[in-house]
Amino acid sequence: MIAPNAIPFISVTILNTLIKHKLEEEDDLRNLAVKGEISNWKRYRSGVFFDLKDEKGSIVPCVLWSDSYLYLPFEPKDGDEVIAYGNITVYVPRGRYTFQVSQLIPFGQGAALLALEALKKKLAAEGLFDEKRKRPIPRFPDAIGIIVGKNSAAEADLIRNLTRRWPLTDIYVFPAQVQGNDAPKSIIAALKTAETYPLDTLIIARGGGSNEDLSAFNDESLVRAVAMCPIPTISAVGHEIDTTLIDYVSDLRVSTPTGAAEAATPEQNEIRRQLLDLEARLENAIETDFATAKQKVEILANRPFFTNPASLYQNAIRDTENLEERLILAESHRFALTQKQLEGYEARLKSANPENVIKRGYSVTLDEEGNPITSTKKTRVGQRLNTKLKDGIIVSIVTEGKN
Amino acid sequence: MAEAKKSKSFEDNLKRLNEIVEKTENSVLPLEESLALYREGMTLIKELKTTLDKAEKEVEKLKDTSKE
Repeated sequence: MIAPNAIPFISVTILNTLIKHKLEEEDDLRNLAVKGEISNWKRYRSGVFFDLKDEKGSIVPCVLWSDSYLYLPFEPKDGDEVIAYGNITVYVPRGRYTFQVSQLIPFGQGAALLALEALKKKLAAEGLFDEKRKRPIPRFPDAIGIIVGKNSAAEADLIRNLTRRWPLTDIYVFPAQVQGNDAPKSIIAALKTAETYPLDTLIIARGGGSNEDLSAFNDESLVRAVAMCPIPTISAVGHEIDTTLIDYVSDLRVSTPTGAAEAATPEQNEIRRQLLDLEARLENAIETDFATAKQKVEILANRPFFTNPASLYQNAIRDTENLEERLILAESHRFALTQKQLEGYEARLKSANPENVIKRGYSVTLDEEGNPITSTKKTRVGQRLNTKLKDGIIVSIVTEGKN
Repeated sequence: MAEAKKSKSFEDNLKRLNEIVEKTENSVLPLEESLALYREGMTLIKELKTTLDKAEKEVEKLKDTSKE
Protein backbone atom coordinates (compact mmCIF):
# COMPACT_ATOMS: atom_id res chain seq x y z
CA MET A 1 0.00 0.00 0.00
CA ILE A 2 1.17 3.45 -0.72
CA ALA A 3 0.61 5.84 2.14
CA PRO A 4 -1.88 8.58 1.12
CA ASN A 5 0.63 11.21 2.05
CA ALA A 6 3.07 9.91 -0.53
CA ILE A 7 0.77 10.87 -3.45
CA PRO A 8 1.90 14.23 -4.94
CA PHE A 9 -0.84 16.84 -4.50
CA ILE A 10 -1.40 20.57 -5.03
CA SER A 11 -3.48 23.15 -3.18
CA VAL A 12 -6.80 24.54 -4.47
CA THR A 13 -5.20 27.93 -4.94
CA ILE A 14 -2.51 26.44 -7.12
CA LEU A 15 -5.16 24.56 -9.13
CA ASN A 16 -7.15 27.77 -9.65
CA THR A 17 -4.01 29.69 -10.49
CA LEU A 18 -3.02 27.09 -13.08
CA ILE A 19 -6.47 27.36 -14.67
CA LYS A 20 -6.23 31.16 -14.55
CA HIS A 21 -2.94 31.11 -16.45
CA LYS A 22 -4.24 28.55 -18.93
CA LEU A 23 -7.40 30.53 -19.73
CA GLU A 24 -5.96 34.01 -19.67
CA GLU A 25 -3.11 33.08 -21.98
CA GLU A 26 -5.38 31.27 -24.44
CA ASP A 27 -5.51 33.36 -27.64
CA ASP A 28 -9.00 32.14 -28.50
CA LEU A 29 -10.28 33.67 -25.28
CA ARG A 30 -8.74 37.10 -25.80
CA ASN A 31 -10.25 40.17 -27.54
CA LEU A 32 -13.64 38.56 -27.76
CA ALA A 33 -16.84 40.15 -29.02
CA VAL A 34 -19.76 38.37 -27.38
CA LYS A 35 -23.39 38.95 -28.22
CA GLY A 36 -25.95 38.51 -25.45
CA GLU A 37 -28.72 40.00 -23.37
CA ILE A 38 -27.95 41.88 -20.18
CA SER A 39 -29.39 40.61 -16.89
CA ASN A 40 -28.73 41.27 -13.22
CA TRP A 41 -27.13 44.66 -14.04
CA LYS A 42 -25.71 45.87 -10.68
CA ARG A 43 -23.61 48.99 -10.26
CA TYR A 44 -21.09 49.31 -7.48
CA ARG A 45 -18.43 51.89 -6.80
CA SER A 46 -15.76 49.65 -8.30
CA GLY A 47 -17.74 48.80 -11.41
CA VAL A 48 -20.75 46.97 -12.82
CA PHE A 49 -21.45 43.24 -12.38
CA PHE A 50 -23.94 41.59 -14.69
CA ASP A 51 -24.67 38.43 -16.69
CA LEU A 52 -24.83 37.97 -20.40
CA LYS A 53 -27.20 35.29 -21.56
CA ASP A 54 -28.29 33.98 -24.93
CA GLU A 55 -31.53 32.51 -26.27
CA LYS A 56 -30.43 29.01 -25.15
CA GLY A 57 -30.20 30.25 -21.57
CA SER A 58 -26.41 30.01 -21.32
CA ILE A 59 -25.01 32.57 -18.94
CA VAL A 60 -21.57 34.10 -18.47
CA PRO A 61 -20.82 36.37 -15.48
CA CYS A 62 -19.39 39.71 -16.56
CA VAL A 63 -17.64 42.63 -14.94
CA LEU A 64 -17.24 46.17 -16.26
CA TRP A 65 -14.80 48.20 -14.17
CA SER A 66 -15.56 51.84 -13.40
CA ASP A 67 -12.93 53.31 -15.69
CA SER A 68 -14.49 51.43 -18.65
CA TYR A 69 -17.99 52.24 -17.50
CA LEU A 70 -17.28 55.98 -17.78
CA TYR A 71 -16.63 55.61 -21.49
CA LEU A 72 -19.79 53.72 -22.41
CA PRO A 73 -21.63 55.36 -25.31
CA PHE A 74 -25.01 54.62 -23.64
CA GLU A 75 -26.60 53.59 -20.36
CA PRO A 76 -27.26 49.82 -20.56
CA LYS A 77 -30.07 48.12 -18.65
CA ASP A 78 -31.44 44.63 -18.14
CA GLY A 79 -32.87 43.13 -21.30
CA ASP A 80 -30.64 45.14 -23.68
CA GLU A 81 -29.15 43.17 -26.55
CA VAL A 82 -25.52 44.09 -26.65
CA ILE A 83 -22.15 43.17 -28.02
CA ALA A 84 -19.57 43.03 -25.26
CA TYR A 85 -15.84 43.35 -26.01
CA GLY A 86 -13.31 41.93 -23.57
CA ASN A 87 -11.24 39.04 -22.21
CA ILE A 88 -11.77 36.01 -19.98
CA THR A 89 -10.29 36.28 -16.50
CA VAL A 90 -10.33 33.90 -13.57
CA TYR A 91 -11.07 34.89 -10.01
CA VAL A 92 -8.77 32.56 -8.08
CA PRO A 93 -10.46 32.59 -4.61
CA ARG A 94 -13.76 31.40 -6.10
CA GLY A 95 -12.50 29.27 -8.95
CA ARG A 96 -14.79 31.25 -11.17
CA TYR A 97 -14.21 32.64 -14.60
CA THR A 98 -15.56 36.01 -15.60
CA PHE A 99 -15.86 37.91 -18.84
CA GLN A 100 -14.10 41.21 -18.22
CA VAL A 101 -15.81 43.73 -20.47
CA SER A 102 -14.00 46.82 -21.75
CA GLN A 103 -16.63 48.13 -24.16
CA LEU A 104 -20.32 47.54 -24.53
CA ILE A 105 -22.42 48.67 -27.47
CA PRO A 106 -26.08 48.17 -28.22
CA PHE A 107 -26.66 45.41 -30.79
CA GLY A 108 -28.05 46.77 -34.01
CA GLN A 109 -26.63 50.26 -33.52
CA GLY A 110 -23.20 48.79 -33.27
CA ALA A 111 -22.06 49.92 -36.69
CA ALA A 112 -23.26 53.50 -36.21
CA LEU A 113 -21.66 53.67 -32.79
CA LEU A 114 -18.38 52.34 -34.07
CA ALA A 115 -18.46 54.93 -36.86
CA LEU A 116 -19.10 57.60 -34.27
CA GLU A 117 -16.22 56.34 -32.12
CA ALA A 118 -13.98 56.44 -35.19
CA LEU A 119 -15.02 60.02 -36.00
CA LYS A 120 -14.47 61.02 -32.39
CA LYS A 121 -10.96 59.52 -32.44
CA LYS A 122 -10.16 61.28 -35.73
CA LEU A 123 -11.31 64.70 -34.49
CA ALA A 124 -9.56 64.18 -31.17
CA ALA A 125 -6.35 63.30 -33.04
CA GLU A 126 -6.68 66.60 -34.95
CA GLY A 127 -6.72 68.35 -31.59
CA LEU A 128 -10.27 69.70 -31.95
CA PHE A 129 -11.19 68.58 -28.44
CA ASP A 130 -7.99 69.82 -26.76
CA GLU A 131 -8.47 71.57 -23.45
CA LYS A 132 -6.09 74.31 -24.53
CA ARG A 133 -8.45 75.28 -27.34
CA LYS A 134 -11.19 76.02 -24.83
CA ARG A 135 -11.85 79.72 -24.39
CA PRO A 136 -13.22 81.17 -21.19
CA ILE A 137 -16.88 82.17 -21.27
CA PRO A 138 -17.14 85.97 -20.72
CA ARG A 139 -18.42 86.66 -17.23
CA PHE A 140 -20.36 89.82 -18.03
CA PRO A 141 -21.69 89.39 -21.58
CA ASP A 142 -23.32 92.25 -23.47
CA ALA A 143 -24.90 90.04 -26.05
CA ILE A 144 -25.61 86.33 -26.13
CA GLY A 145 -26.75 84.37 -29.17
CA ILE A 146 -28.80 81.23 -28.80
CA ILE A 147 -29.23 78.57 -31.46
CA VAL A 148 -32.39 76.65 -30.62
CA GLY A 149 -35.36 74.93 -32.17
CA LYS A 150 -37.97 77.51 -33.17
CA ASN A 151 -40.34 78.16 -30.23
CA SER A 152 -38.78 75.22 -28.39
CA ALA A 153 -38.85 74.63 -24.65
CA ALA A 154 -35.08 75.17 -24.69
CA GLU A 155 -35.58 78.65 -26.18
CA ALA A 156 -38.15 79.63 -23.54
CA ASP A 157 -36.02 78.21 -20.77
CA LEU A 158 -32.92 80.07 -21.95
CA ILE A 159 -34.65 83.43 -22.43
CA ARG A 160 -36.35 83.18 -19.04
CA ASN A 161 -33.18 82.28 -17.16
CA LEU A 162 -30.86 84.63 -19.02
CA THR A 163 -33.09 87.68 -18.48
CA ARG A 164 -33.78 86.78 -14.87
CA ARG A 165 -30.10 86.30 -14.07
CA TRP A 166 -28.55 89.14 -16.02
CA PRO A 167 -30.92 91.65 -17.58
CA LEU A 168 -28.01 93.67 -18.97
CA THR A 169 -27.48 91.08 -21.68
CA ASP A 170 -29.13 91.34 -25.09
CA ILE A 171 -30.30 88.02 -26.43
CA TYR A 172 -30.25 87.12 -30.11
CA VAL A 173 -32.25 84.07 -31.07
CA PHE A 174 -31.09 82.12 -34.11
CA PRO A 175 -33.75 79.48 -34.82
CA ALA A 176 -32.64 76.24 -36.47
CA GLN A 177 -33.90 72.76 -37.11
CA VAL A 178 -32.40 70.69 -34.36
CA GLN A 179 -33.69 67.32 -35.51
CA GLY A 180 -33.83 65.38 -38.73
CA ASN A 181 -31.60 65.03 -41.75
CA ASP A 182 -31.48 68.77 -42.49
CA ALA A 183 -30.61 69.66 -38.91
CA PRO A 184 -26.78 69.81 -39.31
CA LYS A 185 -27.08 72.11 -42.34
CA SER A 186 -29.66 74.30 -40.58
CA ILE A 187 -27.57 74.60 -37.42
CA ILE A 188 -24.45 75.44 -39.43
CA ALA A 189 -26.40 78.18 -41.27
CA ALA A 190 -27.59 79.61 -37.93
CA LEU A 191 -24.01 79.46 -36.65
CA LYS A 192 -22.73 81.39 -39.67
CA THR A 193 -25.41 84.04 -39.20
CA ALA A 194 -24.63 84.30 -35.50
CA GLU A 195 -20.97 84.88 -36.34
CA THR A 196 -21.89 88.13 -38.10
CA TYR A 197 -23.24 89.58 -34.83
CA PRO A 198 -21.05 91.08 -32.10
CA LEU A 199 -21.83 88.31 -29.62
CA ASP A 200 -19.89 87.56 -26.48
CA THR A 201 -21.21 84.03 -26.11
CA LEU A 202 -23.09 81.58 -28.28
CA ILE A 203 -25.30 78.86 -26.81
CA ILE A 204 -26.39 75.84 -28.82
CA ALA A 205 -29.25 74.17 -26.98
CA ARG A 206 -31.64 71.33 -27.45
CA GLY A 207 -33.71 69.30 -25.02
CA GLY A 208 -33.25 65.58 -24.51
CA GLY A 209 -34.17 62.95 -27.06
CA SER A 210 -33.22 59.56 -28.37
CA ASN A 211 -29.78 58.91 -29.77
CA GLU A 212 -31.35 59.21 -33.20
CA ASP A 213 -32.76 62.64 -32.34
CA LEU A 214 -29.42 63.90 -31.13
CA SER A 215 -27.42 62.46 -34.01
CA ALA A 216 -27.37 65.86 -35.78
CA PHE A 217 -24.99 67.06 -33.08
CA ASN A 218 -22.51 64.35 -34.02
CA ASP A 219 -22.33 65.59 -37.60
CA GLU A 220 -18.74 66.10 -38.69
CA SER A 221 -19.38 69.36 -40.62
CA LEU A 222 -21.27 70.79 -37.66
CA VAL A 223 -18.57 69.79 -35.20
CA ARG A 224 -15.95 71.43 -37.42
CA ALA A 225 -18.11 74.57 -37.82
CA VAL A 226 -18.40 74.87 -34.03
CA ALA A 227 -14.63 74.38 -33.73
CA MET A 228 -14.10 77.28 -36.16
CA CYS A 229 -16.63 79.57 -34.49
CA PRO A 230 -14.91 82.79 -33.36
CA ILE A 231 -17.40 83.21 -30.51
CA PRO A 232 -16.99 81.18 -27.29
CA THR A 233 -19.63 78.46 -27.44
CA ILE A 234 -21.62 76.58 -24.84
CA SER A 235 -23.34 73.35 -25.82
CA ALA A 236 -26.44 72.23 -23.95
CA VAL A 237 -27.68 69.28 -25.90
CA GLY A 238 -29.75 66.43 -24.51
CA HIS A 239 -29.61 65.31 -20.92
CA GLU A 240 -26.81 64.63 -18.48
CA ILE A 241 -26.05 61.18 -19.88
CA ASP A 242 -26.21 62.19 -23.54
CA THR A 243 -22.92 63.23 -24.94
CA THR A 244 -22.59 64.38 -28.51
CA LEU A 245 -19.49 65.42 -30.38
CA ILE A 246 -20.29 69.12 -30.21
CA ASP A 247 -20.04 68.78 -26.43
CA TYR A 248 -16.36 67.91 -26.90
CA VAL A 249 -15.64 70.73 -29.31
CA SER A 250 -17.54 73.48 -27.49
CA ASP A 251 -15.72 75.74 -25.10
CA LEU A 252 -18.06 74.58 -22.37
CA ARG A 253 -20.46 71.71 -22.12
CA VAL A 254 -23.50 71.80 -19.84
CA SER A 255 -26.36 69.35 -19.63
CA THR A 256 -29.42 71.63 -19.71
CA PRO A 257 -30.51 75.02 -21.10
CA THR A 258 -30.79 76.25 -17.50
CA GLY A 259 -27.19 75.16 -16.93
CA ALA A 260 -26.20 77.09 -20.06
CA ALA A 261 -27.85 80.27 -18.74
CA GLU A 262 -26.01 79.81 -15.45
CA ALA A 263 -22.68 79.35 -17.22
CA ALA A 264 -23.23 82.32 -19.53
CA THR A 265 -24.30 85.00 -17.07
CA PRO A 266 -23.69 86.18 -13.55
CA GLU A 267 -26.64 86.00 -11.16
CA GLN A 268 -27.80 89.58 -10.54
CA ASN A 269 -28.81 88.85 -6.93
CA GLU A 270 -25.33 87.50 -6.32
CA ILE A 271 -23.87 90.70 -7.79
CA ARG A 272 -26.25 92.82 -5.72
CA ARG A 273 -25.13 90.99 -2.58
CA GLN A 274 -21.55 91.57 -3.63
CA LEU A 275 -22.28 95.29 -4.03
CA LEU A 276 -23.80 95.42 -0.53
CA ASP A 277 -20.77 93.66 0.85
CA LEU A 278 -18.39 96.01 -0.94
CA GLU A 279 -20.37 99.00 0.29
CA ALA A 280 -20.16 97.77 3.89
CA ARG A 281 -16.45 97.11 3.55
CA LEU A 282 -15.85 100.52 2.03
CA GLU A 283 -17.82 102.21 4.85
CA ASN A 284 -15.88 100.23 7.37
CA ALA A 285 -12.54 101.07 5.78
CA ILE A 286 -13.26 104.80 5.72
CA GLU A 287 -14.49 104.70 9.32
CA THR A 288 -11.32 102.93 10.35
CA ASP A 289 -9.25 105.52 8.50
CA PHE A 290 -11.12 108.31 10.22
CA ALA A 291 -10.76 106.68 13.62
CA THR A 292 -7.05 106.23 13.00
CA ALA A 293 -6.66 109.83 11.94
CA LYS A 294 -8.66 110.99 14.96
CA GLN A 295 -6.49 108.91 17.24
CA LYS A 296 -3.37 110.40 15.72
CA VAL A 297 -4.70 113.91 16.30
CA GLU A 298 -5.58 112.99 19.88
CA ILE A 299 -2.14 111.63 20.54
CA LEU A 300 -0.66 114.87 19.23
CA ALA A 301 -3.17 116.97 21.16
CA ASN A 302 -2.18 115.18 24.36
CA ARG A 303 1.47 116.04 23.93
CA PRO A 304 2.78 118.52 26.68
CA PHE A 305 3.30 121.11 23.98
CA PHE A 306 -0.49 121.46 23.75
CA THR A 307 -1.64 120.44 27.21
CA ASN A 308 0.93 122.72 29.00
CA PRO A 309 2.17 125.37 26.62
CA ALA A 310 4.08 127.04 29.52
CA SER A 311 6.47 124.11 29.41
CA LEU A 312 7.97 125.74 26.37
CA TYR A 313 9.37 128.73 28.33
CA GLN A 314 9.46 127.11 31.77
CA ASN A 315 13.09 126.29 31.20
CA ALA A 316 13.79 129.81 30.16
CA ILE A 317 12.06 131.05 33.31
CA ARG A 318 14.04 128.64 35.43
CA ASP A 319 17.28 129.69 33.78
CA THR A 320 16.48 133.33 34.32
CA GLU A 321 15.65 132.71 37.94
CA ASN A 322 18.88 130.86 38.41
CA LEU A 323 20.86 133.67 36.94
CA GLU A 324 19.03 136.17 39.11
CA GLU A 325 19.78 134.14 42.23
CA ARG A 326 23.39 133.86 41.32
CA LEU A 327 23.55 137.55 40.66
CA ILE A 328 22.03 138.38 44.05
CA LEU A 329 24.36 135.97 45.76
CA ALA A 330 27.36 137.39 44.02
CA GLU A 331 26.23 140.87 44.87
CA SER A 332 25.82 140.04 48.53
CA HIS A 333 29.24 138.42 48.60
CA ARG A 334 30.79 141.47 47.17
CA PHE A 335 28.95 143.64 49.66
CA ALA A 336 30.14 141.53 52.58
CA LEU A 337 33.66 141.74 51.30
CA THR A 338 33.54 145.50 50.98
CA GLN A 339 32.21 145.81 54.49
CA LYS A 340 35.05 143.70 55.80
CA GLN A 341 37.55 145.85 53.94
CA LEU A 342 35.99 148.95 55.38
CA GLU A 343 36.21 147.49 58.84
CA GLY A 344 39.86 146.71 58.20
CA TYR A 345 40.49 150.22 57.07
CA GLU A 346 38.68 151.57 60.05
CA ALA A 347 40.77 149.43 62.36
CA ARG A 348 43.89 150.55 60.67
CA LEU A 349 42.73 154.11 60.76
CA LYS A 350 41.90 153.74 64.43
CA SER A 351 45.31 152.38 65.19
CA ALA A 352 46.84 155.29 63.28
CA ASN A 353 44.94 157.83 65.47
CA PRO A 354 47.51 159.59 67.63
CA GLU A 355 45.03 159.56 70.47
CA ASN A 356 45.37 155.87 70.56
CA VAL A 357 49.15 156.10 70.57
CA ILE A 358 48.87 158.44 73.52
CA LYS A 359 46.56 156.02 75.19
CA ARG A 360 49.27 153.44 74.94
CA GLY A 361 51.62 155.76 76.93
CA TYR A 362 53.12 157.88 74.23
CA SER A 363 52.81 161.63 74.04
CA VAL A 364 52.49 164.25 71.38
CA THR A 365 53.68 167.77 71.45
CA LEU A 366 51.61 170.48 69.80
CA ASP A 367 52.19 174.14 69.16
CA GLU A 368 49.78 176.81 70.24
CA GLU A 369 47.62 176.18 67.20
CA GLY A 370 47.48 172.46 67.95
CA ASN A 371 49.82 171.40 65.17
CA PRO A 372 52.09 168.54 66.10
CA ILE A 373 55.79 169.37 66.52
CA THR A 374 57.47 166.80 64.33
CA SER A 375 60.87 168.50 63.94
CA THR A 376 63.16 170.63 66.07
CA LYS A 377 63.20 173.07 63.26
CA LYS A 378 59.53 173.77 63.85
CA THR A 379 60.21 175.15 67.29
CA ARG A 380 61.75 178.31 68.53
CA VAL A 381 63.02 179.25 71.92
CA GLY A 382 60.40 180.67 74.20
CA GLN A 383 57.58 178.97 72.36
CA ARG A 384 54.85 177.55 74.42
CA LEU A 385 54.26 173.87 73.76
CA ASN A 386 51.51 171.65 74.92
CA THR A 387 52.52 168.03 75.44
CA LYS A 388 49.54 165.75 75.41
CA LEU A 389 49.69 162.65 77.61
CA LYS A 390 47.06 160.07 78.30
CA ASP A 391 46.06 161.71 81.58
CA GLY A 392 46.59 165.37 80.81
CA ILE A 393 48.58 168.14 79.18
CA ILE A 394 52.00 169.45 80.23
CA VAL A 395 52.59 173.04 79.22
CA SER A 396 56.25 173.86 78.74
CA ILE A 397 58.45 176.61 77.33
CA VAL A 398 61.20 175.80 74.81
CA THR A 399 64.53 176.73 76.25
CA GLU A 400 66.76 175.06 73.76
CA GLY A 401 66.56 172.99 70.59
CA LYS A 402 69.19 170.40 69.88
CA ASN A 403 69.86 168.42 66.78
CA MET B 1 -26.69 97.11 -29.60
CA ALA B 2 -28.48 100.33 -28.78
CA GLU B 3 -26.58 100.82 -25.56
CA ALA B 4 -22.93 100.38 -26.27
CA LYS B 5 -21.07 98.00 -24.01
CA LYS B 6 -23.16 98.42 -20.91
CA SER B 7 -22.07 95.11 -19.38
CA LYS B 8 -18.46 95.77 -20.24
CA SER B 9 -18.53 99.03 -18.34
CA PHE B 10 -20.38 97.22 -15.58
CA GLU B 11 -17.58 94.69 -15.38
CA ASP B 12 -14.93 97.42 -15.46
CA ASN B 13 -16.72 99.42 -12.78
CA LEU B 14 -17.12 96.36 -10.58
CA LYS B 15 -13.43 95.60 -11.01
CA ARG B 16 -12.51 99.18 -10.11
CA LEU B 17 -14.81 99.01 -7.08
CA ASN B 18 -13.11 95.84 -5.90
CA GLU B 19 -9.72 97.51 -6.31
CA ILE B 20 -10.87 100.50 -4.29
CA VAL B 21 -12.18 98.36 -1.44
CA GLU B 22 -9.03 96.23 -1.40
CA LYS B 23 -6.89 99.35 -1.38
CA THR B 24 -8.77 101.07 1.41
CA GLU B 25 -8.78 97.88 3.46
CA ASN B 26 -5.23 96.80 2.97
CA SER B 27 -3.13 99.94 2.97
CA VAL B 28 -2.68 102.95 5.14
CA LEU B 29 -3.51 105.95 3.02
CA PRO B 30 -3.54 109.66 3.70
CA LEU B 31 -7.03 110.62 4.83
CA GLU B 32 -7.63 112.80 1.77
CA GLU B 33 -6.85 109.84 -0.48
CA SER B 34 -9.08 107.48 1.51
CA LEU B 35 -11.85 109.98 1.33
CA ALA B 36 -11.43 110.41 -2.42
CA LEU B 37 -11.48 106.61 -2.89
CA TYR B 38 -14.51 106.33 -0.63
CA ARG B 39 -16.38 108.90 -2.69
CA GLU B 40 -15.40 107.20 -5.93
CA GLY B 41 -16.43 103.79 -4.54
CA MET B 42 -19.79 105.05 -3.32
CA THR B 43 -20.46 106.66 -6.69
CA LEU B 44 -19.60 103.39 -8.45
CA ILE B 45 -21.89 101.39 -6.14
CA LYS B 46 -24.75 103.77 -6.85
CA GLU B 47 -24.12 103.61 -10.59
CA LEU B 48 -23.91 99.82 -10.63
CA LYS B 49 -27.11 99.45 -8.61
CA THR B 50 -28.90 101.91 -10.87
CA THR B 51 -27.67 100.09 -13.97
CA LEU B 52 -29.04 96.80 -12.64
CA ASP B 53 -32.32 98.36 -11.56
CA LYS B 54 -32.92 100.07 -14.86
CA ALA B 55 -31.81 97.17 -17.06
CA GLU B 56 -34.30 96.19 -19.66
CA LYS B 57 -34.09 92.91 -21.41
CA GLU B 58 -33.74 93.04 -25.11
CA VAL B 59 -34.56 89.92 -27.03
CA GLU B 60 -34.27 89.94 -30.73
CA LYS B 61 -35.59 86.97 -32.61
CA LEU B 62 -34.02 86.55 -35.98
CA LYS B 63 -35.51 84.93 -38.97
CA ASP B 64 -34.62 81.31 -39.49
CA THR B 65 -32.08 81.57 -42.22
CA SER B 66 -32.52 77.98 -43.31
CA LYS B 67 -35.67 76.89 -45.05
CA GLU B 68 -38.57 76.21 -42.72
